[in-house]
Formats: sequence, C-alpha cells, structure tokens
Amino acid sequence: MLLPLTLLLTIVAALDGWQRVTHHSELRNEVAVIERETWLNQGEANPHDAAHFGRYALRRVPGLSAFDPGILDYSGASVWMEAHFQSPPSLRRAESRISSYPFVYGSPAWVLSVVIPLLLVVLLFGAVVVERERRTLALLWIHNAHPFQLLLGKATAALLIAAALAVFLVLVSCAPIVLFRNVTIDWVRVLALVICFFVGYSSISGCVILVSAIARSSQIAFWIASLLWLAMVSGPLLVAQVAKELHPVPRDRDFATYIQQEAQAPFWLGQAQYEEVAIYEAEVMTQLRAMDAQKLGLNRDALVLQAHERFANRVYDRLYGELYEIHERQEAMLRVTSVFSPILALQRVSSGIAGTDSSAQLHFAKSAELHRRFIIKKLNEDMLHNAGEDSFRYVANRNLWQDVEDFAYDERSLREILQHYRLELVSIVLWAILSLVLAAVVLQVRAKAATK
Amino acid sequence: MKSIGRHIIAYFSAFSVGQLVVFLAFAILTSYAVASGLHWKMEATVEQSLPLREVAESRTAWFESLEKSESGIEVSSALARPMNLPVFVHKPPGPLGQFSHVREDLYPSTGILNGFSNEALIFRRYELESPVSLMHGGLDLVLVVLVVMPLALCLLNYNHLASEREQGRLNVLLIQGARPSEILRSRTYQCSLPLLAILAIASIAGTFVTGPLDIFTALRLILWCGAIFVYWYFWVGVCSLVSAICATSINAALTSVSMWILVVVVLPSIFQFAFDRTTESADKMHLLAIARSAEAEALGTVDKRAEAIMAEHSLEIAQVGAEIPSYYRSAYVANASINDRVGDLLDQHAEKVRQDHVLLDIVQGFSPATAAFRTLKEVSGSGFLRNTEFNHQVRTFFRHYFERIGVATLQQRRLTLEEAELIGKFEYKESLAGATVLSFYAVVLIFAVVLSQIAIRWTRKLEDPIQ
Repeated sequence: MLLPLTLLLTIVAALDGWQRVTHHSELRNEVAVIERETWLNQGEANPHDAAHFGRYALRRVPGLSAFDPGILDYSGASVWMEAHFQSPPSLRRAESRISSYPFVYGSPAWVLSVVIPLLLVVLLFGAVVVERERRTLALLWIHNAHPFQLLLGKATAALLIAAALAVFLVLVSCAPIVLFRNVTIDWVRVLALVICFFVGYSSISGCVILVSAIARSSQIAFWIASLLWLAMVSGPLLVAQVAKELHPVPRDRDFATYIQQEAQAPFWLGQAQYEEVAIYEAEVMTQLRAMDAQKLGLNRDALVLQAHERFANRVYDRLYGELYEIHERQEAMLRVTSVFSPILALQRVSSGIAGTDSSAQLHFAKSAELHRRFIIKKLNEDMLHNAGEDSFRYVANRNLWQDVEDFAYDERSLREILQHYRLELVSIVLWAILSLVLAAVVLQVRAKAATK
Repeated sequence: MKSIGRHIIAYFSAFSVGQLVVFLAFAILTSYAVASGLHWKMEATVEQSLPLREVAESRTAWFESLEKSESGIEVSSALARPMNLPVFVHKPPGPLGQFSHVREDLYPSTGILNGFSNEALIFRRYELESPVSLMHGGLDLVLVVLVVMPLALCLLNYNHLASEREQGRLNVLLIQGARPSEILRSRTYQCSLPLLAILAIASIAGTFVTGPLDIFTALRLILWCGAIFVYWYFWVGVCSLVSAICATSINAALTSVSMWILVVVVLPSIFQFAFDRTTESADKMHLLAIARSAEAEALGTVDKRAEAIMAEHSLEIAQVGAEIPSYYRSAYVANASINDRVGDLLDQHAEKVRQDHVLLDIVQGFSPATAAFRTLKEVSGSGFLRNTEFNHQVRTFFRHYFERIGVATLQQRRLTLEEAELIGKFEYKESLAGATVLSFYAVVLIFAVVLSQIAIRWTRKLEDPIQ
C-alpha cells in the first residue's frame, strides 16, 4: 500500500511543482516587464527623484525549485532599491498561501527525503531480525556463513533498492519538464541530486539494517527504526525553534530605528556630513585631477547625496552583516543537527543543489544591494556632472533611465554549492559506512555467541 | 485524596514501561509546546505595546497642535496636517494564539497608517526573520495534536488483539466469557485516555495562565477542547479498526504506520496540491507592480513628483523655514490613484479567498487532518484566515480614514477638531468561521463513529473460539 501511495504522491508533487514554477516564472517575467516599462516611462525627472522612485530587483525562479522549493516561499522574492536605504528581500509567497498545513511541504524533494526513508524503514526493519526470529540465522552460523557475507547480501539488496528509488523517483520528479517547455533545468544538477539521494538512502538503509541487527524482536526493530525516523524528521522543527530563541533577530521597528539613528540622522542632522563630503570631494578631485569642484561646475548637492550613500553603505554593511550573522548562527544549529540526521543533511544538500537554500537567497540579496549602489551612484554622478547650478531643478530623460541596467545576477556554480555543503555530504557518507560497519560488528558478536 | 491517589497509581501500574515512556514523552512535548506558545504570546504583546505607545504620543502631539491652530495660536505649517495624522493598527495575538503560534511571524500584525500609506503598502516592513526558521516553523500544540498524538495512539494501541491471538491467549479469554469487542474497547480507552487528559490539562492550564477568562475565550476553549476530542476519537476509531483487523502484531504495526502516513501526510498533501492548483492567490509582487505604474501615471510631471517627495519630508522642510504649499495634495492624489487601481484587485482577491474558504469547508472532510488543522487554527485565533480578516478590517478603516482627510488635503487646509475626532481609532474585531468548525465536528465525528462500529463488528468474527 505504501509504495503505490508514495509513487502517486511523487507524481502529484512533481506536476504541482512544475506547474508552480511555470506560473511563478511567468508572473515574475510579467512583473519585470511592467517594472521596466514603469521605470523607462517615468518621464523627465531629477535623477535624485528617480533614485527615490526606485526599482525592484526580482529574484529568478530556479528551474529545479519545481523539485525542491526549499526556502523559496519563505524568503523575499524581491528587493526594493531606493536612494539612501538598503532593504532586505521582501514579499514572501508563503504569506499569500490560503492553506498551509504544517509538517508537509508538498514537493517531490519532501516526498523523497521524508516519505521514502519511512518506506525504507518499512522494507528493511526485518532484514536481520526476522532471520533470527525464524531461526534461519542460527542455521547460517552453523553452516559457517560469515556475518560479513550475510551483511553484504543484505546491504547489496538495500543499495539496489536505494539506487532504484533514487534514479526512478528523481527522474519521475523531473519528467514533467517535458510538458512545461518554458522552464529549463541543468541536468548535471539532476545527476548530482540522484547521486546525493542514492548516498542518502544508503545511509538510511544502513541505519535500519543496524537497528535490525541489534533489536531482539521484529516489533522492537520496527518501533526503534520508526522512532528514529520521526526524530530525524521532527528534530529540525525543535532545533529551529530553539535557534530562534537563542539567536533572535531584531524587531523590524528597532531595525528601522537603528537605520534612522545610525545611517540617516548623524549625516543629515549631525556632524558626519562635513567630513564625509570632504573625503568624497577630495577623491573626486583626485580622479578628475582638478583642484576646485566649483570651477569644474560639479553640483554640490549631488556630491552631498553620494557622500551620504557612502556613509550609509558602511552602516548598512555593519547592520545587515550582523543580521545575516544571526541568520547564519540559527542555521549553524541546523547544520550541526544535520550531522546527526541523514534526512536533514539530505534535505539541505538537495535545496542547495536546487538553488533554493538560504545561501542562494543571501547571494541574491547581496547582488541586489550591489546593484542598488550601482544605480544610485550612476544617478548621482549624472546629477554631479550635469546639474550645475540647477541642482534639484535639473531634469534627466529617458536616455539616462535606459542607461540604468536591469538587475541580473549569476547563480552559484554546482562546485561552490557542494563545497558549501561538504559537512552534510561527509556526514551522509559516514552514516552509510559507519552503520554498515557497526551492523557487521554486531552480527559478528552475535554469531560468536550463537556458535558457542 | 488517598483513595484517588491509590486509584491513579493502580491505573498507571497496569501499563508497561514502554507505554509509560510514551506518556511521559508526550507530556514533555505538550508542555514544551504550550510553554513556548505562552512565551511567544507574551513577547508579541510586549512588541505591540511599544509602537502603540509611540503612536499614541504622536497622536496627542498632533491633536495639541491642531487645538492650538484652532484657537488661533501660530503653529508650523508642517504640523497637524491631515496627511500626518497617525493611526496604529494592530492584530493582537489570538485568544488562544499560544496554542498555534508557529509561523505567525509570517503575517504582519502591526502597521501605522497615515496619508502617505496606500493600499498596496499598508504593511510595508523590514522582513528580517530567517527564511530557514520560518520554513521549519517549530512545535506548537496544533502540531502535537495533529501529528504526535495520532502516532502515539498508534504506538499504544496497534496490537491489543493481535498479540493475544499470536500468543494463543484470546481463546482462553473467550472460553472464560470475555468478548473481543470489550477487550478491544477497554484496552484502547485505557491506553488513549491519558493522552486526551494531558492535552486537556495543558489547554486549560495554558489558557488560565494568560489571565482572567472572558466569555468569548471560554467559548473558544470549549470548542478547542471539543475539536481535540473529536480528532482523538477519530484516531481511537482508526486504531481500534487496525487492531481488530490485523491478525499479527507486525501486520498491525505496518498498518498503523500506513494509516498514520495516509491520514497525516498523504491526504493533506494531496488536498494541499489540489487546493493550491485551484486557488491561486493574488501575488503581492504583481500588486506592487500595478501600484507602481499607477504611481508613475499620477506623478507624471516633474513638479508633482518633487512635491510628493517633499510632502513626506515636510517636517524637515519646515525646520529650515520653508512653506508647505501644495505638497500634500500631490502625494494624496498619487496615493488615491494607487488605491483606485489596487483596491479593486484586493477586493476581488478578498472575495475569492472567502469563496475558496467556503469550498474548503465543504471538501475538508476528505482529509480529517486538514479539517482538524483548519479548525484548531480558527478556534485558537491564528493563521491565514485571521490575517485575511485583519487585512480586510484595516483596509476598510483605511478607506474611511483616507476619505476623511481627502477634502481638507485637497483644499490645502487642516481638519477641524471635530473632523479629526470623527476619524477615530482602529480596533480589531475577532470573528470565528463557524462553518469551518461545524463541518469538521460533523464530518470527523461521523468518520470516528463509523470506524468504531466497523471495528466492533469485525471483532464479532473473533467471538467463536475455534477461529
């Protein structure tokens, strides 16, 4: 009953995933077009007004998010880019979901990393213990069978099951791409997913065989293996909650106050402006190899505006650096937990490969901020060189808006991702090896005891 | 007292060590879930009180300036402008929010309205929470009831009859006059009732700890405990059936786990997939793109745009002695244009959400776990539906506010004290989706009774000792 149910679930999840990605990609592209048109057709305006008019940096929807949406729905899909202010990613899709049943994430990756391990528990919990209950194990020892041979047989069968499940289900999950042609995926990453799931399933199979070798009855083996599965699946919930308590993020209002007090007020109302403007002016003069800004016709207001950007950016680097460090600390607890849970390790690697993990989100946020700084600098520099005495009365036109490139960023390479998740990868492999070695040792001890 | 204590000891001494461990683990998890929920509720209340105080202070200052202006005392032209009248909107934690706090951080619970707000950006805020923490959520009482309780019931009840059959004791019991249905019923209730008691005690204690109970919260507590009972009874029925049908312990164990996966994982997943496909909710990014193009159109000229930006910085401008001519008007017109464009879309979306929920109420019986989840969320006062209701109430208030400040802003004057007082304050009104709760009660209770009856009938087949 479980196998067909799981297959049905995988197919439904795959179709849903691909349709979701197609829909979100189309929506994103549509919004990108509206956004660009709005920016280009804003009419004549002062560059600083345009910098306040702002733009959205939209996050790309990775093709493999159909397989593993990871944190995508829980992280901001866009970054608001405006003068003077750095914004974190916002507009989370999960906020608009009508029904969000807990515990189930409804993606092929979730089925493969949570339901399939349970299937392995059901299939393999009796691997050794049933032989003992039927007294066939004692017969094997009497016939001088080596425990290692028995384990090799069981492990080979388990690995074959793991390989078949990994290849078949990952491919089933990616098959609907044939129907949704406007989404592209990297097949090397699909291969990496297959390998990861194979190794992950091998380690889970190894653990179940170990439990089966240790337990005194099939019932005990079944419940221990099931509870282990439950602990591995529900552990991250508790760890995430504890991590949130231990490393709380600042409240949004407090954060807004920090920004006001540290990035805005000291410059606009305090003394920081004079020094910052003087340093920036000196740099500009050095670049232009000139002595006097006024003689060059440089606009003073633009100089002040860009000086503020430089001042505020340093504050933002610190404030957002601290915020991302808190996120990192929260995640570090999950990373440590993943050493004890091959299921969690598998989930983390899978979302990494799919490009839907937190490091991909951070990469997007940082790229968007770099782009914001680039846009604002470009607009301020235009005002600096062209506004002259007109200052805020100076207006630029479509030519300048066209010069501001749309936001684009490169995704991280597979190699970088695998390097990022090396701890999880090593732990999955170690689980596979250690569990099988331990099972062999247990069997050896039991065999010796039986032959005596 | 002594005799009660003796009864309790006698009751629990009938359990095996394994069963006692399950009870203990369940009690620890439940306590942890309630404690973390109470902590969350306390934090959320404190968090909301700070801006509430700040806004109250700035409202007082605004009204003082207006009173001065009305009595002929000269005040800065940037003070007491209609666009600057702040209103704090907030959604307090639900009456029983401590039991279902997981992922509540996803939804905005506070906002400050003024004339510079528009319907697309009422709740614009820094979204600072870690997405990883948000995704994993955490453990609350809803999760314990939905996921852990069924598993614990399966663990405790799967082999009441099968183990007797395997060990050949069933025939002895039958010869002695025992009936399998009675054995099954008494053992199932004996093992299941402690879980229900733990949940009931935790719920009642978790409610009373938060303070005195009003009539509405008491009613919700009754509905909450009732929902837990119905879901518990449903699972008692499932476990009884499994125990009655399966001849061997191992079969019973496998069937129990399969049932747990089917009801707790598979059915809700399929339900969720199907529902996500049929109910595509409004995308916020799309709404904002439309809002931006409306803003661009409204601020089409250079002067208007400059004025709108100046209006938002009117206090700073006034500090350097500049006059405030028509700045507010431009900002107001821009926001009015955005509201016109976005408001209709939001209304359509809200209407669709309402229709979708009616549909969900009708079909939720196909997945008892989903029905239980929706009911528990609704009764406790949390989740998407409550957030939608909050958004709706805030938007309705905002429209009233925006309209009230409109004439004065366009005429470039201040409100009169009477006009300002008529705007009033926002207060969130709790509501309860009765249809969701009732349909859960009705459907799941029917399922539970049917399952129990089938289990009892099945056990009658075992009444012949020869079998």
